[in-house]
Amino acid sequence: MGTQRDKVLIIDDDADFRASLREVLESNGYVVDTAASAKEGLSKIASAPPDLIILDVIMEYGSAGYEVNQAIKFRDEFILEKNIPILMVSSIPIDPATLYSRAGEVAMITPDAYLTKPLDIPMFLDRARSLLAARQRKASA
Amino acid sequence: MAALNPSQSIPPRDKLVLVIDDDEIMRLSCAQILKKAGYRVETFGNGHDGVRRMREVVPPLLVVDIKMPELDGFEVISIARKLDPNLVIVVITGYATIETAVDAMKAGAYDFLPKPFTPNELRMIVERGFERWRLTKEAQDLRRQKEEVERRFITLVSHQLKTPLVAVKQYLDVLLFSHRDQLPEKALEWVSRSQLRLGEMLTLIQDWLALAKIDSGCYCDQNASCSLALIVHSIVEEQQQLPAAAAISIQAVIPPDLPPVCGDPVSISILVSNVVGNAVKYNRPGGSVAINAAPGENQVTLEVSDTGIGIPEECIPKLFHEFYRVKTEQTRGIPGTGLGLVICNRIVTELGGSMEIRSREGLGTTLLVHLAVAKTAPQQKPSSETHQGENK
Repeated sequence: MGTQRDKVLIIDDDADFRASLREVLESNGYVVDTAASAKEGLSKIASAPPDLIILDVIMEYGSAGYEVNQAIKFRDEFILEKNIPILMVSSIPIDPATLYSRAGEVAMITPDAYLTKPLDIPMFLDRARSLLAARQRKASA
Repeated sequence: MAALNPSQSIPPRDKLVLVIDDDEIMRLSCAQILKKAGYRVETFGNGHDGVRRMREVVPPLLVVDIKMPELDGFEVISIARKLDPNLVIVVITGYATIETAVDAMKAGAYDFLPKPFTPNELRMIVERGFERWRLTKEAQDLRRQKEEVERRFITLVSHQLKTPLVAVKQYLDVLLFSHRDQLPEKALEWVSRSQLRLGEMLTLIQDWLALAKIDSGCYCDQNASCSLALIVHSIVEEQQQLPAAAAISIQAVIPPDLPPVCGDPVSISILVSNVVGNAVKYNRPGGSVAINAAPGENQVTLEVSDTGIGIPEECIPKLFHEFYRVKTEQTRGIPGTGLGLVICNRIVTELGGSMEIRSREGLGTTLLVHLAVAKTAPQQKPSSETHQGENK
């Protein structure tokens, strides 16, 4: 089902979320790696860049996920990784762009897509697929 | 009220009385009487010195003369009230007229004592003053404790109950999605039932949390503002993807120049999500949901109309009662907690708006939500504060 052997990195501090998302992604043909914190996530992105990042928000601290988003999309050290799509998943009922629509720095915390936990599995896979497809279109353009 | 024995009930550090009077004899005699009764007394001959010390120690009780040169008693009262609204102020006055006493009480004094007074009168009034201070402090401590317990309970429910349930539900969702074919028939049936029951329980917890957060002031920030257009679009997009909305068309027409509404984005999202969710949930296959918003004078009206089953007229007044659900043949299979509209109504009311329900059974329902236009220029900063108490 999934685009062949795309590599997905799950950054979430909840082991059960990592396990169940790994399962659903692997059974759909993706190669999965996981990180249990924002810090570990950033180091894995730097050492082995994935094709898609699944990113939780509240981890070591309340805005850890937002900071990962900002680092990837805006920090110079991640200049090569800045186009990796980020699918943010959290129990916060609305996406950061709507939540902080009037903050000057809203772009920094806006992911490529946002879903609220508990995830609807078909919708989650659909988003993952379309983000990866968009990335491929961009790469070949 | 029982008379208080100050030496027993009040810890030593809390037994301080400041006496401010420009009359030395009066200071000395007040100090003598009160010390004998077990209080610690500090005396000051003018308002400035007294106020300086008052700012340093913030005593439970202050005895102050009204007529003093420079800073008079009224000014001292006004400073003391601002410093600590609980500070008990006893006014002594040499020219005891009703007017002076009334003025002092209006300014925030607890009681007044006309000169000359007996030692016993001073003792009694100070004892009562301390009793009042103690009771106020006790009530405040209890209120603080209660609020703290409520806050902790919300966090507990959020983190210790909701998070594990969401994790369990996701395991079941993945199991049913990825391994449906491998499950024995009985397992498939029971996992499906568990998934359903768990989903209902989660919705109930989420609804309860929303109400608890409204009660505790975590939601419904009247000083915040947000864009209704952004929120409606975000929620419509989300709803359109859900299986429940597969056969329903959702159309939202929001004028681009709609002014920001009063309220934080999380509360408004919960509101819109419930209202739009209901319009989808109680619709019929092939039906539609029309969402419109129009600016009015000082308010914005959000109109959500569906082509659903409608609500029997006699049920409409009960819709805002907790746990009430319309029970008809058509609603039997539709899951719900009976809290959604209660939450919506609480949010709208807390934010100074109102709601109207118009419905015709069998034809559909229109919900009108009137929201106040934001008072101030919107200010939002990304921080973890906004979703305080929210779990992962």
